[in-house]
Amino acid sequence: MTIKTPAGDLDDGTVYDLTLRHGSSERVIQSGHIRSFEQDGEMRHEVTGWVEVWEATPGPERTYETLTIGFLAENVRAFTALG
Amino acid sequence: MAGPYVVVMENQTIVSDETLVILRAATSWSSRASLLRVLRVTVSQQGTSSAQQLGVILAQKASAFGTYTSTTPSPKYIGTVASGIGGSTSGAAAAAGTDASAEGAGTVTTIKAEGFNNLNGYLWVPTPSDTILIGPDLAFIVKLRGTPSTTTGWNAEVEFEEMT
Repeated sequence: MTIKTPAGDLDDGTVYDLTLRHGSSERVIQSGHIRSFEQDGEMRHEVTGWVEVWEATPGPERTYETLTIGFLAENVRAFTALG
Repeated sequence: MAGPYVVVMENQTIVSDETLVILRAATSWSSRASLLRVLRVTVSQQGTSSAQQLGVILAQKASAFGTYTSTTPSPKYIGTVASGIGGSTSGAAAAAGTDASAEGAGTVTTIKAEGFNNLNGYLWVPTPSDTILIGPDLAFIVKLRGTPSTTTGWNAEVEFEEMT
């Protein structure tokens, strides 16, 4: 299905690098797989991909973790389709 | 009965009045993890050395739920059987999530409301009469009250055991 976002249309089933708004900051998800599903009569979206953790300590301690993050279409800031 | 298990939000950047952890029991009384007992709650911050007074609530959350990072509980006794609670981005039954990016419209019914200093952190370990039980299909949340001056480097955890 197509997810309409301020940054353009996303398709679940496609892999993206995705930037999500989270309060006043942003979360970048790399190689994210998007999945949409219905719960309690509401369409929901989630993305599973590589997310940088240890944001507070940039440097050699930076590491990446695979996370599944729920998101609202309105919070998509930018994306690049990877295929 | 199985556990204890712990749901952990580690070193995340949060937003104002954010739900830090949601834990929702399984729907059916006959299934595993349909009755949960909360053993411990902690909230702390490592992203600043500046003091600030904030609020935290322990509460029941009704549908509609928010949008979370899917977080699967870990057994506290390392390597033992996995919890009947999985991870969910949408507050699904028999699942846990952390670090909400949207709160959802569902009613929040506060059970405990407390204040804490971010440099000291918040720790709640109930006495027997203070125990919180989460019944079938019901959701428990730990939610920040207030706007942190520094939003980075927040931790939260909910330790629980499965009574069924």
